[in-house]
Amino acid sequence: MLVTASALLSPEVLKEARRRERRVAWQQTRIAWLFIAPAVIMVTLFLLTPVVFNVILSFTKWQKFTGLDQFAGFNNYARLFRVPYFSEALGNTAIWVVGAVIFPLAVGLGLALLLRNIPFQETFKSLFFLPRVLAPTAVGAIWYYVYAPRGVLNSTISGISGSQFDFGWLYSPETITGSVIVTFVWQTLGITMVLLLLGLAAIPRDPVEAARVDGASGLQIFRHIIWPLLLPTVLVVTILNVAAGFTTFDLLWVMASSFPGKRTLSLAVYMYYESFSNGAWAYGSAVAVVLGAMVITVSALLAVVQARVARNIR
Amino acid sequence: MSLQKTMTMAGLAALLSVGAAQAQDLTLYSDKTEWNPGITAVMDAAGKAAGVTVKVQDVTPTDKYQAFMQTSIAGNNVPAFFTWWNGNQLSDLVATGVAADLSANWDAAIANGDYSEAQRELVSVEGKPYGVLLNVANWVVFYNTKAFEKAGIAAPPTTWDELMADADKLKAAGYVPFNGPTSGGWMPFIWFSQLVLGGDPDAFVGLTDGTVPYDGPAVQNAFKVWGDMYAKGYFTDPREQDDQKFFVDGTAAMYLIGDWHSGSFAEAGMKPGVDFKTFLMPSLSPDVPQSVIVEASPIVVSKAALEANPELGKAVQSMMSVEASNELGSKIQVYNGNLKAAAPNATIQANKDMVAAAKPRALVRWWEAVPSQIQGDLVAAMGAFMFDPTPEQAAKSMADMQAINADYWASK
Amino acid sequence: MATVTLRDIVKIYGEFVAIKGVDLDIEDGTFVVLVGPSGCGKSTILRMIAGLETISHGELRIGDKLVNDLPSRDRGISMVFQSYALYPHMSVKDNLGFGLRISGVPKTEIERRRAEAATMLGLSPYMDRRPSQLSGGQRQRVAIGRAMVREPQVFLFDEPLSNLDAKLRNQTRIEIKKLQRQLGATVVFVTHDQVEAMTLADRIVVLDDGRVAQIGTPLEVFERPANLFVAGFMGSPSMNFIAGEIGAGPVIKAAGLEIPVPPGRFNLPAAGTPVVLGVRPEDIVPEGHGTRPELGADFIAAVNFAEMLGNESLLFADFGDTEIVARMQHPRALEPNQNLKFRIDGARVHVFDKQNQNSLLR
Repeated sequence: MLVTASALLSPEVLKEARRRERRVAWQQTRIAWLFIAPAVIMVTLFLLTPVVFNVILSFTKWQKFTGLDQFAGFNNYARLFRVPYFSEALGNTAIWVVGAVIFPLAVGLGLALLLRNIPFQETFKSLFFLPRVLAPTAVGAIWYYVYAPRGVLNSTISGISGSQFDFGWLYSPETITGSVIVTFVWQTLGITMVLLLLGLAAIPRDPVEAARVDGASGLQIFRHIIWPLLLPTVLVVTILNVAAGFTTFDLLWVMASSFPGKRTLSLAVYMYYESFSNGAWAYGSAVAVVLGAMVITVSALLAVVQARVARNIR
Repeated sequence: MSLQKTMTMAGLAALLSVGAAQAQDLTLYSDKTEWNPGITAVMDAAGKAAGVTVKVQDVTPTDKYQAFMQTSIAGNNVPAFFTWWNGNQLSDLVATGVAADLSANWDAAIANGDYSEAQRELVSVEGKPYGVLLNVANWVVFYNTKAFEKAGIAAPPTTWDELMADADKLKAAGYVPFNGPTSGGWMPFIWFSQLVLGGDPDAFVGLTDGTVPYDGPAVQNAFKVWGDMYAKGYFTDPREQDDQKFFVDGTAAMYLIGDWHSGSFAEAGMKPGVDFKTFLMPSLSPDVPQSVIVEASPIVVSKAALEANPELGKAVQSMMSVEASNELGSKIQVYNGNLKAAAPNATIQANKDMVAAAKPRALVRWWEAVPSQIQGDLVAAMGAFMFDPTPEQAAKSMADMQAINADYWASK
Repeated sequence: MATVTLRDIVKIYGEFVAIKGVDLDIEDGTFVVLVGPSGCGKSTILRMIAGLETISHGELRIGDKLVNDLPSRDRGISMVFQSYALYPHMSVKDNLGFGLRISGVPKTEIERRRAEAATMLGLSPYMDRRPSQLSGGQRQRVAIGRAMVREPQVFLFDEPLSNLDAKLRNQTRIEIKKLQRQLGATVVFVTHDQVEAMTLADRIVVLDDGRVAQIGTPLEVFERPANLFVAGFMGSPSMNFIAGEIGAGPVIKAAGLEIPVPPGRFNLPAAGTPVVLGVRPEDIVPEGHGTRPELGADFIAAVNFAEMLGNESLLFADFGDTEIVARMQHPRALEPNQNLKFRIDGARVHVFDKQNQNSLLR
């Protein structure tokens, strides 16, 4: 029996075949479109619209009761550099970004490596994860009392040193950022550690064993095998924490509630303060636009790097 | 203008989630929680007079209240009544057109002998009154009589040098001379403005209209004096969030504050005129004439609400009556200036007498006088100094304040 | 190169005893294959030699050195993993050079050995590629190259061919064997595939449930299986096992048939003792196909099913209560259930003790 397929494939047959494939494809995806639609509408309504509104607002003069209808060009952006608070907030935000990336990662990775092969790993994981499920404002309130002049920290120091110590951790410009970052790390450690544990678990055992056989010491294995293979996860964690560092707000808002320099503790706080406390809506929007642009730029860059790194180890 | 409308609507949608007033019930918004009993009594009577009910709703702290009110006003959602400030704060508000002109009520009250023309000026913008007085207060130094006794101070000081000498005595007797609170988002301006005022009253006025810089000699001198006082340990811990705690618990011997505060002290168990008395804050040197800060808080009435229900005029009249004044006096020991009313307590009476005798130059508070847009930023710089009272921080605070101030006036 | 000596090696995981006391002498330069079904412990033994598993009990020596507690890197071994275990983020070049680099071997020396391995394995064109850009066979050769450049005393292979397709597997098998001869290397090679074991090994170690079932050359293991397990495991299709008993004289009785065996080949117990008769499929010869065995017994059976393999055919037929498999050379088409006459080659049958399952071969 000999079959020649080409004879059957007339243009009409091909056309009919294509039509049928398209119909089936539509039938298969239309449900998907239906499910996506609400999300698309929500995002447009509650994310994109406010963002566009915010950008427009940043070019107006809307401040307290005045000037709702006047465009101000780039005046709000120029003001960022005329008044001292923006650059202070920017500096503190930079500290936040660096601190929010390095410390959770370093401590989280250390813990992840330690916890990886021990019994009761789950218990420890839950323990470290616990702060994450608390609202940041609740965490802030707890730590406010840890750092209070007669709080847990100072009492401990007093107890050890034997003399009364009542340093105001949350009242000094030198210590407040660091103190709140410590709280942030405490809260973020769990999720960072769990993500890193997942990343570690995803590293195949074989290359690690191969490296052992190849003569690598524990440190060399970490440096040459585990770290490069963990890098995509590390970068994901970094992206999350960079965004968190840039937009840090609630912890500062609660913990620095009685610090007069509160507004300059981060750009997000400054933005909120200018808009909601000071009534400088347009100027606050300009701060928001700059902050948003920075977060998007840095995150996008990191995402590109992450994708490349992930591809390289595939 | 469509942009205005669009933005207003969008702004509202995004920002205004705090409860809006019910249509049938009128509301009075206030940031003065501790005065609620008095305000409620006044508004109950006022509501009865107009045949409506008025709820009292407070939003605190002050900076949040201001933001809330701005949003409400921007969204055309003005409460029928709300407490406000006089001076520049009131001008800014009146410029938006939401406040009702209360000339008719004031005319009646003056004719009736309840108020004077001078008092009308306290709540007027360009000659027209836009508020009912809720509080008229003199800013004086409260002192703990027991502390003065223990420190061997026979009579309150009348000059700056005496004040400083007394402070030393108090310190030696184990007291912190001055209560220096930072709370509520506004208190840091108290000592800053007092020290500028005490050195140069004209500079004090000039600070608020853009003619005097915040890093000029008058301010430099104020920071120097302030810093010296901190260096000598004259002030309480700025970290305390309960503003009167150190005064009522006997830690601090003196507290510079408006005399509306006497009610709070009384509530905390100190008997006015017995446990605490007052004196006028002396100028920094004898060549500088004595001055006193007068604070007047108005209750503003919504123009729209008044137009919608002209009966509310009766409510306003009730709020200006001697009965209303007496309610405030008895419930919260606040004096609203009604000439027929008795002073709520011995201290307020004493202050009135003191001011009448000394005839100091009366000045509007810095808070009310300064442009509202830069108020918060400036207070923060002052607060920063209170937490770190060093010459370096003084220099930074001055530079920051002047940058904000110059930027504001340049954009006018 | 070096010898590897295992003495009474035991491995336990919690309550589970994986290796139950293994003794093994691997001579210098020999190719030893550990073979057995999954779970028999062959990989565990290899990993213990590699230093990837601790040794619960016993002594492991490489050369003269007791290495029980030495880390992998000090044992002078190289290992090729089933998954190749290449470093995914490194180029072929770096994969080959990694071990040397971290051991501080001079650059020129690394270069020399790497070039040598690359040439030998035909990897030179791919040196800058990453593993994900290579085919399975190429990856396999990189893995072997990585083991080679370290110039180890012992090569360890953990089922290195199982991820390759059949054709490549045959090809690589030959290459590995050639390489081993060329290098004169000591190799320990783990597989579950008895064909691989037969073709590669100088010595086969058959493992069963954590114990050594038999050690021997491929021929010994195939021709003289020491017990039922080895007999069943080696050879494909498996040896047919038929219940039987000793008859009068050198004869095994099974399914009513009396199969004569060569005198002196077995230590036969008394007549009537039940035994297990083992016959490989190629030793059940259908009449007319292949040489008719001289010593043997005929029977006629219906062919239930025939599996056509091209050059031969596997016939499934009932022999007593047992379904047996016979191998038909030069196959021809059969009718369903067609009766055929078969002859069991008595000279090649195996007899096992029914109790201890050991072979009765002399």
